[in-house]
Amino acid sequence: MQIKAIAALLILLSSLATVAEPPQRVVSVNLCSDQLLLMLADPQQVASVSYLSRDPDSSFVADQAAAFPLNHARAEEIIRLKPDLILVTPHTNPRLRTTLKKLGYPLHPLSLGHRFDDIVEDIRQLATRLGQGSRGESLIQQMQKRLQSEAEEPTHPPTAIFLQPRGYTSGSDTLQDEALRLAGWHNLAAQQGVEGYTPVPLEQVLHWQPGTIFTSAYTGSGDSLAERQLHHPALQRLLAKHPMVEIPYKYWICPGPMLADAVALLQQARVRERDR
Amino acid sequence: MSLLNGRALSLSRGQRPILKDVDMTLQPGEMLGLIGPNGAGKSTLLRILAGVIEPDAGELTLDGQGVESLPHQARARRIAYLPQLSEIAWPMSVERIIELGRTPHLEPWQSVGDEDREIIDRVTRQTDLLAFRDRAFNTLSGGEQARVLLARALVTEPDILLADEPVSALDPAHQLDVMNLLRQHCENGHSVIVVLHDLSLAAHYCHRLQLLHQGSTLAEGSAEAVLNEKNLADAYDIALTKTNGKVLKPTSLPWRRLHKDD
Amino acid sequence: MIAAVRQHRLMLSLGGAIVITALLSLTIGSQPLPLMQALQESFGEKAGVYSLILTELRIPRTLIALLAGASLGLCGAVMQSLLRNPLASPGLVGSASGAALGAVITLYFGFAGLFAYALPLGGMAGALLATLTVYLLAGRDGGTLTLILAGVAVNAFALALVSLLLNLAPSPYAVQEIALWMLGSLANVSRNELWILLPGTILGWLLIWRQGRPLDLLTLGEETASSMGADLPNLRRRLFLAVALAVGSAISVTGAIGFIGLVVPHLLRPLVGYQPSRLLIPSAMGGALLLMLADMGVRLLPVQGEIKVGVVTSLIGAPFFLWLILHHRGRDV
Repeated sequence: MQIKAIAALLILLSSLATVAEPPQRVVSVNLCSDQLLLMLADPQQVASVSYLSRDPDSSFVADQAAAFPLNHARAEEIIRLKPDLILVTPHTNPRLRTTLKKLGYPLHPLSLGHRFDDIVEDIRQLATRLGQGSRGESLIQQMQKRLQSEAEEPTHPPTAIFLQPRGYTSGSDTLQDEALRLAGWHNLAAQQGVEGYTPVPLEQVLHWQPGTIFTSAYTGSGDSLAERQLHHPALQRLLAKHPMVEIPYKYWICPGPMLADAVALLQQARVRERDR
Repeated sequence: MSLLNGRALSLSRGQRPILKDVDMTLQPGEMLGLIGPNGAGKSTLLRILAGVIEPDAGELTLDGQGVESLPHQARARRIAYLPQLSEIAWPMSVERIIELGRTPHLEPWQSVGDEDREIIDRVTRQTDLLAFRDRAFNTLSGGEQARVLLARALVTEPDILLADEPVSALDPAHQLDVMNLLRQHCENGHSVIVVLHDLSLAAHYCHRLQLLHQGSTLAEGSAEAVLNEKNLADAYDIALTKTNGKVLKPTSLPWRRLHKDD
Repeated sequence: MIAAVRQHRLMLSLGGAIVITALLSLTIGSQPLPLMQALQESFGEKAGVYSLILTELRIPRTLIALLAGASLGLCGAVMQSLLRNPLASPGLVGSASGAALGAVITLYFGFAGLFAYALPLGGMAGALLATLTVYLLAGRDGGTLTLILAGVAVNAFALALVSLLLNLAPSPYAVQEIALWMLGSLANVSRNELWILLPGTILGWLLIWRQGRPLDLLTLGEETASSMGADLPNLRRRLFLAVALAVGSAISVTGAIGFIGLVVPHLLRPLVGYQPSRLLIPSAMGGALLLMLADMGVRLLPVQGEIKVGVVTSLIGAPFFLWLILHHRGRDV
């Protein structure tokens, strides 16, 4: 009985291995795929991650990334790593992509869509490909739980926009728009027909009269006209009662599980705003 | 006491001396002719007298006082300088350019007044420029331009007018006109120092001549005394022509103005 | 007498055009602004969004365009008269690119945070240094060709340094601001920038005040001018400083805006009888007018974001300038 069971298990395992043997030398060339890879794969599956993954200002996996060789998305580096899977994104240089494909390396594309469902789908597909399906499902469940924990939907969502240095705002089909919606905010920029990341004149922002302005300046170091624009006196007067809320930039670089944390930050801001 | 007095004026450019210990003096009402071959230092001496360049050594006095102690504008009211080459940067009208000659008499906030206007009108008439008043400077002939620049210097009504070859671009008739104007300036009690290449004109119009050669004064005094055969040979390397055994003196002017000659 | 009347008429027309343009400039933007309502709000108890846009955005922007344009036009006229060269202008003799370089060094490398006027001081120092370099390279009596060559060299060097420094700057946004410094922009300026601009501008203008007479005399050549009472070394020092102050202040707020200092004095010179002293104030007015118009053009063009105002001044300026060259070809001007 016991032997039978073990034998059956062995047969099952070996058959699984032949159907889809999990890759053992995965290379990621982009911060977004780096983060998903390090969250989902076993460490021994990872051959290399991109150099940006170690930057603590941008990466959520900076500590883990320290253990792996880095690459700069150059074909020569990647070939030398002898990968059995390469993760590519829509941002990957098309020439690099064609070269790798021509040389016969298996590629796994991530969609990096901005909707929550796109993120779930990316995680699920990558986890399956890595042979880490259950780890992927638990990550997805964590995200969903995090979203529901504070999700009492307001009947009248308060208005907000994102305003970045140089006057960039986030319209429809952006991570910020999705996060605002999930956190119970009303994104005025999307409502006014702004699509994607677009610079808007300051006058426009004043006309919109957003209740709250979120910003995610890239770093605090150095000075620039772009950053000075956020201190424009007109904006200061608009913000006199509702100070600008800073959400760290690293939440918005990549669509991924960190979106749930960003939503949580936005929800907290909404609760603070309500309790004023 | 002399009006303008220069003593031991010297100037070098690098190693090359241009003026060596030149003395000069000018009396009120006098017309002094500076003559000499090219490169003798005439223009340099005139520019030093005008205050445009400073001598390396020597002293220059006006009414017995050092010229350098005079403020720029006060000096400009008393000494006017008419350089040999005058490019005008912008095509201003003749009237505007002549008007500029009154600048030394105006305070920074003043503009040209009625009295100034009278002087300008008179000089414009004297220099035969009435018809050209509204013309742009650059549309005039060389001779007309020279007269405009002279008019500009004359409206300053300076005690001393320094003119560097004022007639070189002019036809004979206008040469005489200009020389007559300079002489008239002297007759009004002012003084003139004029650089001339035409020895006949110099001899005829100037009260006194100073002959420069290689940066030094070779001779100085009346035309008769200066323009002798030895000086002309030394300075210019020329000899006087003899006709029928008689020497043609440069003091005899071979032509005169038909209408305006007085 | 007739000339004086003509001069008054010219200044009145320019003044009228400036007032009308300034008012129009207040009403033009991404959204139409009901001016009366905005004014009522501004003077009323409760400040609304219209008054906010009017007082914090459009009035500072219009005033900065007016002041910076006036400085560029005025300094163009001053440089051309001083150097007796119709091509001398803040853009050509290096003042503008030098000012941009100075401003970039102060802004992006942390000096601007030290005290409020570090930025315009950087611009002034850069303008002065670049202009003096061109002046020394070209020589006092350098011809047009030498001046242009020296100007081209110094401009190229300064703008290359601007590019390099913006790439090296600690702020990740710096690189994207290269175009702004090279072409100039008035987008989103505030009253802070107005205060930064003002002192150097006024000081510069005051230094130029009453220097028209010696500039007139310079028309006759340096030696004649000096014999007529102009203190040329003093005049040169004073006017170089004035241009550095005014242009340095303007450029450190707006970036290097081209062509105004070159074209405006050129266009107006025949209208004032070519006399330098009569050219100064009209050039300032013309510069103010041109920059305000160009800035309105920038706001009206249907492009996403805003194009740089220098693009428009050059688009207006360059054809005018070509026309001028063709017009004067064959004449000795």
